[in-house]
Amino acid sequence: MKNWIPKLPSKATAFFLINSFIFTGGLSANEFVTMDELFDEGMEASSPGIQDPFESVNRMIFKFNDFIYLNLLDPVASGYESITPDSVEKKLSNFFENLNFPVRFAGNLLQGKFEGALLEGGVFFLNTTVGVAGLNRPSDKLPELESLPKEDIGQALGSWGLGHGPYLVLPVWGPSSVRDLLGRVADRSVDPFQIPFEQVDEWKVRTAYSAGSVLVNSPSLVQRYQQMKGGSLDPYVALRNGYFQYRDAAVKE
Amino acid sequence: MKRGALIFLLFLTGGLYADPDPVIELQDSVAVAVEVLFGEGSESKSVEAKRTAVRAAFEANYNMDIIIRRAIGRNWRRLSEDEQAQILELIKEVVLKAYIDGMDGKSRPEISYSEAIKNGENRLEIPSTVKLEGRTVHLKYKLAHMQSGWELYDLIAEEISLVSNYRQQFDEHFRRGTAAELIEKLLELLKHEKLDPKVTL
Repeated sequence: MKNWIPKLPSKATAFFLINSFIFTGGLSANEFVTMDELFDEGMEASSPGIQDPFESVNRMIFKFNDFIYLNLLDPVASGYESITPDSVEKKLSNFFENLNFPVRFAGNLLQGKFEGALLEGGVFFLNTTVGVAGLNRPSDKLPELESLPKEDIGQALGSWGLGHGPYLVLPVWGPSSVRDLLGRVADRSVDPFQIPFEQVDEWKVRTAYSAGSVLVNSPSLVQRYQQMKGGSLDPYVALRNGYFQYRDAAVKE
Repeated sequence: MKRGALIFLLFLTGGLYADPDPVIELQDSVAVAVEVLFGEGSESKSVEAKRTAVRAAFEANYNMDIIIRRAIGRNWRRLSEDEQAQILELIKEVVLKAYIDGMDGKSRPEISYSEAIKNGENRLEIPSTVKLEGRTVHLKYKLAHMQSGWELYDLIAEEISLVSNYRQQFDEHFRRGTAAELIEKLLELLKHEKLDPKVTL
């Protein structure tokens, strides 16, 4: 067999071999990841088993929601954004988020996350007092309170081992599952503004709360929805997959 | 002494061939893309020009075919060579368009990176936070050390894997549809200058 290494004086041979070694980083081929290895990596974890026995009904509701989002909610969101200064938008968003404290608190407690519940309590107290009724978020200036994961009762059900159950698309509300629908009903039981468990008797206040909450969140919801839909081959499947991945990650967190 | 100096020199020059730091490489690519979209003179650039420049910024360091091939999954083998090439190209354009549409026309985002997480010797996860007009989006870049260098193989936005999300859409499409129909759908998505959410496929 013909020797492919050129005949070199000894020091030059050493130079050639050492530099070749360094050039390849001393790595053999199996120390690199191959395309075959990468092919299915992470797919089990990020592509949960999805049950969608009501797909045809869900798709119809999805189309109805799509119409509502793009033809009613989008103009409302655009109008709201155009007449509201950014700083006011931010404050109103903070206000409604602060009022959602009971759901996050209960979600933490039901998962046995007592530290999380305590921190949520701290955030609520600080933002309600120093932050003037939750309009500002001084809690964001404290690293321990800055980005607490948002817990809810649906996540608590998941952490107890309850599976998603069938996928559901709820009118106007959007993607959900049987488990998360139960969670939503339970969320309402700890929210003083939500019927049928409301603690606030005055219907005008409740209506203002619900309408205000939808209005304030509409720009972000519409923007996310449009972005998801704009880049999708099948927006129904994209939203369903995204929903399950997102909720699974929230339960695992 | 001479021999020691020679070996030292060899190691020194060998360092020139080592892979660049994957974290810095990623940050540089993102920084170039952000500069294209928000830097001086960006307002006068067409969407097409921005897309070409952003694509070049990522393709300078990463082989985008890897992430797209993973997204197409097992359906890859159902495609002819021509279809593979065409679909690969069209999906790249759709993903880039979605990336640019998500940021274009908005104020410059604040991007910060957390410490990279090593998953074994050859895989890295680089978490980042993008603050864009009051919204905070958490992104994770997944990189693998391949023969060609550190390659991007998934992007996780708010815990949603881009690869998994597209793969499920392709699987769903190929349950009933053909490659020709997929190409048609992709062309439809790319027909308008910006992605149009009112297009119902």
